[in-house]
Amino acid sequence: MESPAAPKRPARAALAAIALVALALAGGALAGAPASSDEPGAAGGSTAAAPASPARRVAAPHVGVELVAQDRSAAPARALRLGVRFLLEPGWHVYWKNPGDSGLAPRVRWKLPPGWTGGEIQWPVPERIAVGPLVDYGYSGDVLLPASVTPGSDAPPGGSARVAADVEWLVCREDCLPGRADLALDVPVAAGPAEPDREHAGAFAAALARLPRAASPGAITATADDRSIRVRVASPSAHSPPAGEVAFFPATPGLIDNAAPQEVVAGRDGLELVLRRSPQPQPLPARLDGVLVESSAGAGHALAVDAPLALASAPAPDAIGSAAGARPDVALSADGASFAAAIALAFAGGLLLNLMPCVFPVLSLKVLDFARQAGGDARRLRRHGVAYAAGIVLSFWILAGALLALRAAGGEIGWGFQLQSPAFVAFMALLLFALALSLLGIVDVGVAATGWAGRFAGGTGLAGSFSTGVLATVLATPCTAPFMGTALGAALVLPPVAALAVFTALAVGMAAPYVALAFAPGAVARLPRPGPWMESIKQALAFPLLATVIWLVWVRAEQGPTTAILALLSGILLVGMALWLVGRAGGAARPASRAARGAAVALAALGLAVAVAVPAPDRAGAPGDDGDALSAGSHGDWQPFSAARLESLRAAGRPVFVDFTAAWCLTCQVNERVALAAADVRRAFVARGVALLRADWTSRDPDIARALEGFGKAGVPLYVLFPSGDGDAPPEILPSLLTPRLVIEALGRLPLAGEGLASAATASGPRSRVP
Amino acid sequence: MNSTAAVARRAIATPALALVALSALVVAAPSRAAAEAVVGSPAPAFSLTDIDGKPHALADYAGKVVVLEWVNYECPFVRKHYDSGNMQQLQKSAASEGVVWLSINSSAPGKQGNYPPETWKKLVADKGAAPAAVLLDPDGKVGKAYGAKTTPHMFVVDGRGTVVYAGAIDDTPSTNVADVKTAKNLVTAAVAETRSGKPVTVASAPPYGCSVKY
Repeated sequence: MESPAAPKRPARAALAAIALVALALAGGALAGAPASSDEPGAAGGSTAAAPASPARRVAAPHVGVELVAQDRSAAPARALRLGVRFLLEPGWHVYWKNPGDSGLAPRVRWKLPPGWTGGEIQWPVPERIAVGPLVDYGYSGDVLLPASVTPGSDAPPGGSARVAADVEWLVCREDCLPGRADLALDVPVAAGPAEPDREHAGAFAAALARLPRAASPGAITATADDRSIRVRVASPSAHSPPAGEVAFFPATPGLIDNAAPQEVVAGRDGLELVLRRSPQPQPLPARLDGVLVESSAGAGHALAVDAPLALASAPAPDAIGSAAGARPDVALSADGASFAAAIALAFAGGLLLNLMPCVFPVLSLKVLDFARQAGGDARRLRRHGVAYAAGIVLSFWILAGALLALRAAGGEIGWGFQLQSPAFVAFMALLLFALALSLLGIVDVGVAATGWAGRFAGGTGLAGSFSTGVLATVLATPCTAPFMGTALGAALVLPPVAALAVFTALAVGMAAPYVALAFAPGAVARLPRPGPWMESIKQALAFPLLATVIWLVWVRAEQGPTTAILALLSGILLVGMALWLVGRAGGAARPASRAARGAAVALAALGLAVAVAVPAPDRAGAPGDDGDALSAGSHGDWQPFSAARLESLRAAGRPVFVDFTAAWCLTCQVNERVALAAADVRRAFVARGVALLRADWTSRDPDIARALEGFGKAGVPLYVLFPSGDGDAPPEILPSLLTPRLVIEALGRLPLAGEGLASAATASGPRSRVP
Repeated sequence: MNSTAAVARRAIATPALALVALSALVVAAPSRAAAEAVVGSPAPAFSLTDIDGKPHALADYAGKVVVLEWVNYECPFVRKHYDSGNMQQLQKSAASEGVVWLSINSSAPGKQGNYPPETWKKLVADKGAAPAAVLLDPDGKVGKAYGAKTTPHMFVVDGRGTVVYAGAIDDTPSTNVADVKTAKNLVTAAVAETRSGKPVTVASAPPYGCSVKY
């Protein structure tokens, strides 16, 4: 018979059990109290002296830290993967093994039972974290740092082992908090297959997927010079630039400038990443250690980099400069007679600039305008002439100032650098096209712009002449006349004041014809009277401008992917539409309506945006890549220039001819077609066993810029003939205007192919390098 | 005639475009490296006001060895050196040797470590800090000119104005106060070598600390 009290006993027992469990849970929760206080600098931690209840997980300010195991048990002598997991509040991060510009990597110290060995953390691929002008490397969100521990082979199965880790970290958003926790895990030791702990399987899988994989041996090479470290990744399929972003994370702190952009150069056999070294003196490590990540559209793959770090066989300028004689000599020779030569060449170049199709139309219009004023005040004409010259001189000073300032700031640029920017090329093409259309009469901007044109045309109009000078200079920038390149190249290695003088000579040369006309007595009277012929001339002058546009489109094509041509021509079309709209909407008598003008401006802006939209890849392939059979020297013979290639060819005893050229350099193109492609010149190259290297400077290339600098030049063209042998004989620099005979004569001064190689073969000992 | 004049006017009336084109040239410029005070180069000149309102320029201390300490009292790494009394000790021995020790704070207004001068004076007194001056660089110009990345970030400039040391204060990056005693202080070594006319053996070490709050 059940007494009424009997049923209460199980209930009471249950209540007691629940109470006990609750107490135990509370006790456990107290033991797992927050690891550190809010006080920065306090290395708070859960009590380290509490071996009784292991805290597997700890909640610290802004981060939760947890020690987890991949498997539910460990077996003797079998590695067990553990993980230290950080769960971070949004906006907060912890650091990678190299924290970057600031911060501190987390540190894990194992406290293992006897016989166990602990392993190193395997670091998942970090993120770049920008903190103002600084760059750190770390993790946000949820990150697990795997590390393996291995029980001793004599670990008693059936027991349980306490694995503890003393974890220290620094967690930051913008301000930083250090943290420390003692975490411990009781791991059963059992023989038998590993059974994954499903609770953490996902976190482990994510962490392991995020580990960099090993690169195939030899696939990654690294070289260093004074300023940069180049990481080359060989890739059989590489020919196009990498689809997404490529980034290198160095494992060695202080090696590279973390915040500097990493330039990617795609080549035929892979890609090259150029890292800027930290400018502080630091011994170079023997190996480059880090992670190379290529990511596109969210997915990415990462390679662990561990490659010997070789010194570049001699930094490019020194290798070439030393062969040319120590660089100071080259620079010094640029004073005295050379300075006078530079001034003379600049003046001549300036004169010739007036004949270039970019400048000629504007100048001609000015002369026409001049003719229109025939019979006017001679003094007024002279003043106009001076104003025009002032416009040109001032613009050249601004250009020179910008160029010198950029070079002083470390930019590796020379004259023509503006054309290495595809955006500039596109912009100039649009501008010249617009001018050509206005000359053709598509749009009568004079009427439409009565307001602001009136300001210039009214009164003395001196401002107008000045502005024409400025415009003429702007139009001159895409065109590099003969002599001009040499003069400016010389100018840029001169001290700033001397360089400015050379630029002034160029400006004066350019202004000279018009000024001469303005000052010539009676010249005005000799000019033909104004008449309808002026309209024809004006329209005809549109065609040189259009020819320049075509040339600029070609330059742009040489620089970038072929879609750039589509973009640029579309931009030209849009600008044409814009001008037509204004021209039609306006008329002889009234300016275009505001709506039409607005639409035109919008179209023109769209045209500009479309034209510059396609960026060029960092280095165009070798010139003539598109199989242009007419390209000079039959590109099959010409190899792309690199300092390493030059060295190896010379080391093999071959004479080398280097052609520094660019698509936008008219003189270079003419020289290549007239001289270098001539049949007898090519025969002479073969007879002397000369290796042909082409340095294509169409797009920005710091290597080539440095090589040019090594010869005391800052622009193209430059032709250098290196004799075979050990580098005792200095290389010969050929003139900027080549003829086939000139080249053949220079080659004639080389020994014949057989002799050269024989002498190279008998040469003994390492080549001495002039530092 | 008129159309020619119009054309000429047109050609004249595009100076705006010309200016835009000229500025496009500057846009075409390649990126420049960030500024940094590099060992062996002249230390960038600066002129900053201290917490008492007095101006200090680097040129004022020509002929003397100058130590620049980028500071942020709330950064755990800086606290490691101040709570242990280490930094104050370094500052006092510097003063006794005639070395000019300047603490510089480049925290932007509103960011950690940026205080009004009154608060600074109180903090400096509380901590017993003894630099020759505490200089305020709230717009970060001097910090960026030197390439100061962390607090602490140390620079030692010799009497001729050349940077002879740039980087970490010691060789043990951590926030543990206990590490101060065992670490090798690179600034002390650099100052001692510079004062005795010897070249600095460890001229730079990657700086460690919290980021400077530009």
